[in-house]
Amino acid sequence: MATLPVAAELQELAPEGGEVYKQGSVAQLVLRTFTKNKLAVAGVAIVVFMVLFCFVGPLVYHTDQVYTNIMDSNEAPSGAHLLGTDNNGYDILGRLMVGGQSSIEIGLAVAAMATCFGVVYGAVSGYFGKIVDVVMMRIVDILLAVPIVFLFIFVATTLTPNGSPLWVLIVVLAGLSWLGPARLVRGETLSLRTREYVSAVKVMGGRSRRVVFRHIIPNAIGTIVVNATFQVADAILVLAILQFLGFSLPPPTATWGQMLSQGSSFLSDGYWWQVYPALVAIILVVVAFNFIGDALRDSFEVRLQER
Amino acid sequence: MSSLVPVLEARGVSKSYRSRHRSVQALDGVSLAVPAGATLGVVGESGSGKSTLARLLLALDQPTEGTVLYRGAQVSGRRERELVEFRRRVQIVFQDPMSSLDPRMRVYDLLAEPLRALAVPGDQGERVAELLASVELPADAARRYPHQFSGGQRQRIAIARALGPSPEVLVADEPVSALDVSVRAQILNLLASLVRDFNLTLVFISHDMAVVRHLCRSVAVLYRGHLVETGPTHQIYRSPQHEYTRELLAAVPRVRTERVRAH
Repeated sequence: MATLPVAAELQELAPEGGEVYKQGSVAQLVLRTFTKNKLAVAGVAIVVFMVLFCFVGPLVYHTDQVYTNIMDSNEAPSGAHLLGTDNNGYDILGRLMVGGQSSIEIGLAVAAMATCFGVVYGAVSGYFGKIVDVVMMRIVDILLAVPIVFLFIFVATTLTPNGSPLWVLIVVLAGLSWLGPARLVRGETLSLRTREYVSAVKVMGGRSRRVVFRHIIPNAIGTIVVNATFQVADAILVLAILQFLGFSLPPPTATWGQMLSQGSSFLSDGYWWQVYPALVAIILVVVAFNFIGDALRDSFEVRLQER
Repeated sequence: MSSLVPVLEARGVSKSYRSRHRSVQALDGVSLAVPAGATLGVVGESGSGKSTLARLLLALDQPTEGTVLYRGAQVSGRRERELVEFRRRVQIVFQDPMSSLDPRMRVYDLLAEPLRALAVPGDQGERVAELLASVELPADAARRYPHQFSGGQRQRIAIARALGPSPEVLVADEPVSALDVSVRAQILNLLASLVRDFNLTLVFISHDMAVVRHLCRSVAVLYRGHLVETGPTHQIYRSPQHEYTRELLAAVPRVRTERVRAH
């Protein structure tokens, strides 16, 4: 038996030989490339700031966002109300925080839901191929062909006589946005399923479910994470659009989209402070998530290059 | 009588791959029987259908014609859930361990996967340690990812995984051609000793006649999807009947002393 050469080979596993792999762990490498990207760091900073602003801010800056106060309505920014008040007398800075909470929560929930469904749908379609793939992808094509603005108007006007519950909104938004991840992951799966380790799993007695969930999806994780990041940005944007078109949540709830929509009807009266804060907040968060997504995509590509 | 039935048998198998405009005949009417305890080398140049044959023997692909049998029972065309026993008994080592080991799994999970999926009885942790030891890797390798190993070590992991369910037949599809020349001999020696220790029936697929000669007692030569010659290794080396076999043999680099010994 060739014990000697084997012993030599094993030395690579000893601490001094084993730990110096240039890539370290994959996660470390991705992180390093990510933190080198200035836009990415700016994006993360903006998101962290907005999250703190929305969730910690109300603890510091107390305002009443439940009861209207007509006496204070439509006041311009001043010492008492830093960003003024809206038509119902709500303090706009305070409302921006509370509205941000639901906007960010809904954005994350929609992204999570759309991604989970889209990923499984795409992976199943790509993995099984043939007629399954044809049918599943034609369904996606059909849904993609529906004019989106028309769909928005339809959803906004039918689902909301006097405010719909939150989960309806989340499901509707997720229902509009799972198509992207489904297509992406299906494409990725087509290449992953021809890898030898998928054949190996079959020889090892692994069934389709194991292949899809343990091997294909984990190996497409880069694509999935990047896309999920963009999904958050898109969801916040689409949410704003829907609310601008009239999809509203039950009264005490505030969102940036609702603030924008309400404020815009008073723009001709010169109440600029009712529009711009929400607008800036939406743009900031959407741009920040896009920066993060772009940087993540680059980082994952670097990982592939070094492998 | 059961000893007369080959463990693994291909009966007149053909496989053609069709693309939009043309079809490629990868295998054409190949019949091959692997008796228990045999070490069979399947040789041929790239494109001769070696790997296709391996995939058919493992029921990873279905033949367009013919059947594959395991101990006289047909395996081709069966549903996957009827093949559990077959999967326990017939395993494969692929060519490139970089692509046959899922890069996102730790070695422990890679080795435990077939044990779990095939419901192999016994303690999983112990079995994994045992498998690592049998391919001469340290126990702490279990915590690492494939990319943290050298090519030779990765192929050891792939071999350990194939040994997991205690198979009786091991199909090795060019197991050393993706490795550095310096570690090839180690892996080949390991395979040889495993075959001996575990009484494995080996189907060794290779384009390298020299390697096959070292490891296998009988040889089957594939040429453009046809089986052109089979027989005991020494006989085929001494008096190759087919023109193509002679060409293959001529392609093996030789040291003069070896030629003297061969005649």
